[in-house]
Amino acid sequence: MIINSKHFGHIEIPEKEIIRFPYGIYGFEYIKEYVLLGKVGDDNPFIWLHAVHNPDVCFVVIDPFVFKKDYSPSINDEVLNKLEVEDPADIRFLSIVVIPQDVSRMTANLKSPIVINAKKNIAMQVILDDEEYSTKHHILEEMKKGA
Amino acid sequence: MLVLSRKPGQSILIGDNIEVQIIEIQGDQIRIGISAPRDISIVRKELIDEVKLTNREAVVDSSRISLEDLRKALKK
Repeated sequence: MIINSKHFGHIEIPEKEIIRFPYGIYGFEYIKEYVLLGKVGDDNPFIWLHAVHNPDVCFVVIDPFVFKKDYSPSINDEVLNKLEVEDPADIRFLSIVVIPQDVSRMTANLKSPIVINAKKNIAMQVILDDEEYSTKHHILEEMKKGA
Repeated sequence: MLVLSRKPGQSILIGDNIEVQIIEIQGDQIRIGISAPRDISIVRKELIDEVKLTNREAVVDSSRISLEDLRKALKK
């Protein structure tokens, strides 16, 4: 599968790496397939979440546990069913990052993480019931708090 | 849009298995109880709007940002 990306140009991605989003991402419901781009095993917790068929749609996402060690999103049965989760160990979380002009002010959305069934590569954005999380957590400040 | 008048304690049914009950009215606030199957998601509309807005704000021009710069920002 060839992906056309504004930044990376044409890149080849094995079909099995495509992550299906049956419900899309809020505001981008029409986009059903994404891939994660970035070096695996790198010490960089940021990766790209890139739409497969839309060269302009690309997000930066981060492993939320990197800056919020006590993050504990509660996922209900509805989500587990939709993602066809058989073993909870297959679940991964990613937070979408908003990057303003001043990069040090970047925020991550802990209220509505991307939840992935890593075994089957099915994902959805989930709005958590947890009141303690918001759509904009200041990443650097959260890191200082947790340090 | 269907518009109905209800009093506290009264309910409406949507389909066979969704019940919306008016629990109490206090000033401009109305408490509502909803019984629905677990696979029906119930979310406050303004929260969905906020998530959509945040997502739109998050779309990046990947030629403007490098992941390496973001990693460096974390280390500062």
